Amino acid sequence: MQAISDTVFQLSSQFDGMFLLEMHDNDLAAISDIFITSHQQLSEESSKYFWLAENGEIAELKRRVHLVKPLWGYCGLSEFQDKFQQMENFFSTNPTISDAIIRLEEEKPFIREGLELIRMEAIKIQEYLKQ
Amino acid sequence: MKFTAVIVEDLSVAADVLHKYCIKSGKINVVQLFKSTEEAIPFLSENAVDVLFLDIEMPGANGFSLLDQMQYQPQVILTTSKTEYAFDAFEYSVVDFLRKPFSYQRFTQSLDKLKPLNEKKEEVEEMSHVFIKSDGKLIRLNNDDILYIESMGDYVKFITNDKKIISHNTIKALTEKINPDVFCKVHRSYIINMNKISDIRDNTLYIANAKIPVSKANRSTVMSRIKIV
Repeated sequence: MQAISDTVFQLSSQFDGMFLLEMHDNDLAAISDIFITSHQQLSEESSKYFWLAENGEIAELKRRVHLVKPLWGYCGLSEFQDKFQQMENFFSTNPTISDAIIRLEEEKPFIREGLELIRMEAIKIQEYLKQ
Repeated sequence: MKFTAVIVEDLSVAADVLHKYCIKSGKINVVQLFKSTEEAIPFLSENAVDVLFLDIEMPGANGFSLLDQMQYQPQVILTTSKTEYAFDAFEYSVVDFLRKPFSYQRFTQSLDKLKPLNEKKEEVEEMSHVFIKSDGKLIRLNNDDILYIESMGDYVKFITNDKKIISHNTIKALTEKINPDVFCKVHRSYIINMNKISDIRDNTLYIANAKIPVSKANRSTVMSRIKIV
């Protein structure tokens, strides 16, 4: 468990801090590791979504959305997991290529926002642990 | 005594957290982690574990297909991020259904639902025979008298040396109730008594004069259970 310095670390309000701290026994380093791994996996996967949509690989797109969906939850961002669930449901309806691309365009800002939240929070924890 | 367990999960973050929970509980000894059902099947065919933590949607075959191919019934806790599988989970008599991500507290609630180990062992020891319902009677059949069991839709036929008894049941339900040391599901329509095989040729095995097909999915399990000298 990480030794606590004179200031107590507070996770940003967008994150379900209580859930994360309970999951990792208050181990901030473990939370940071989850953020880094999840950020990497989510970035890699989401970068393939447009290519898959443009090539009509909708079933594969749906499968890949499903695969990484829980990572948002493991980062304490359940709202983002719910959004991914909605995306997965949408791709399950076998939309046309153009509808799939439009949907991905709509979702792009929120995926970016989520990834940025995770990245910044990981940096924040690492800075705190260096103190 | 700890439960031995296997985790089948394709998402490494989820597998790591689950593994950590198992260690923290002090009740579960995780013997192996696998990323797919294909990787898990050979291990589970040769090693009996008490508990299986199983994701459902994975690349390749899904978690339920792993349960279909298993020759014994460990206690299963499903881990998934979808709730649509609840009905199937009920069909497979799983112990619990955990929606990812789940808290440690929720995990311990699942562990509380596991049957104690001694209770499971007693059940197996008592499995030297079965009682089957047929023609309004309960008929006792010793395991040793049963050659094989064949599916007939909503019914099954128990074949012995001198009789055929039809009973309202399914192969899937029977797989969970019969003694896994003696019987083996070789095809979705057949369970056989392993001690009664006289001959195996390609994907067919012979018991008495009957030809019984072995499905591709079950072949490796059957072969792992016979002694080739």
